[in-house]
Amino acid sequence: MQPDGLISQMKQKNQVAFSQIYDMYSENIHGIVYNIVKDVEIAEEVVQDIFVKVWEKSESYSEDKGRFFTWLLNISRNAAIDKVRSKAYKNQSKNSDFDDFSFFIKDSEDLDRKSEGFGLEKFVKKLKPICVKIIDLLFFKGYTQKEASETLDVPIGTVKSRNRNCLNSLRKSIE
Amino acid sequence: MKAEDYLDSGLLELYVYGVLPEDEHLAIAKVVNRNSDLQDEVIAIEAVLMELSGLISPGLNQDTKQKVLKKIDKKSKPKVKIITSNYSYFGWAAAILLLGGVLWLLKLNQDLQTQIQVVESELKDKEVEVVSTEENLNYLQDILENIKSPDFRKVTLPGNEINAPNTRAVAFYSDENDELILDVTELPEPPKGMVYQVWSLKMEPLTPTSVGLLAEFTKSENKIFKLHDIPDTEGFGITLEPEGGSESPNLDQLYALGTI
Repeated sequence: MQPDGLISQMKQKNQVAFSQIYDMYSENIHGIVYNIVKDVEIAEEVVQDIFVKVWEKSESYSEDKGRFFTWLLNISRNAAIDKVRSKAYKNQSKNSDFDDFSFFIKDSEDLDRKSEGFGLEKFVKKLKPICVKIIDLLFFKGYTQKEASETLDVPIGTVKSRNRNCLNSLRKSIE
Repeated sequence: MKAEDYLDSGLLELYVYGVLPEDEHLAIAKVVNRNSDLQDEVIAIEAVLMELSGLISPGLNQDTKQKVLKKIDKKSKPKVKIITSNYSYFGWAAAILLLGGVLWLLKLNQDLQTQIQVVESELKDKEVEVVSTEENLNYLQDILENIKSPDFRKVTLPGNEINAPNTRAVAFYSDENDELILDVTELPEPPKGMVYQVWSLKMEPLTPTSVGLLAEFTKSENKIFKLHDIPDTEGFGITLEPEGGSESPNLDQLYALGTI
């Protein structure tokens, strides 16, 4: 469920509601941004910019347009991609390119995480490389089906079904 | 496409990702909002994506939230503050100028008041001077009228050889009015504590009668005095006596003496 009550309070410029929404989504947004900019400090800066934007533009979100999570995702990916394209980023970034999100998932032994994520981590490590790729491009990087099919050199008609199968296998690990 | 057909299509995943063309996205949103099965599916997809993205985050700095809250708090406040402060500079400047102006006017006013007081006091002095000059003039005119009258006889009183050599006093005397006008311009100033006393004289035997003191001698500009109620007389004498006058003349201090 999405926090509709909090969202509508935030739209009326309630800072307490905004603060709670930040707590709910900031780690996810950070994950998305970090996977794109690949630099901890820059990712933090971008997360700040994103949430300021969320506060300013909150009135433009409505349920008719889809999920609040999706709305956040689009703002976040756009902000991260803009950052990567900026001159400042090219001068500032210290990290080299990594192919996909799986690189950033640490071994479960190293993590001090809640148990709910425990199975997923192990499962991600066991995902087929094509699944990692397809989820990385579509979900994390916001590629369209066409862009993903071209990048991965797979027929466009199979992109969404493959993606569903890959995601379903992850879902099983948390259900 | 029926609602249930969406479940396995793979479109719901792409819908949650937000990577479908806008029209398709909005169309699916409409269908999902009306169908609880599709909503449940969407929520399940979202849950796994939340898990996955949460795994990637290396952990947000605690300060980040405070920074964000500070930024939105700043943006939430009206910008009137800056405008007010700009106007307030003008306000302060105007207030200081006004205060300066008021102080300057007060100083100016005070100076003018002082000048007016000085001028007023000078004017009073002049008025007094005019009055005194007028009085003096009237007095002299009166004396002149008297002297011109045939009733008055002129008597010269030569100065005493010892006390007032080479001087004289002049007396104008009227029998009818019993008045005496005495011009003592040539006599020296009496010393402090002393006063000239005028005597009417009867000869054989010599009987002096005091007819007045010239107490105003020093103050008088003209040194011409008018004395009244003069008894029948044969001559006049002027002696120097202690202040207040004496019963009888001190002949050692005789200054002028003359007979009719």
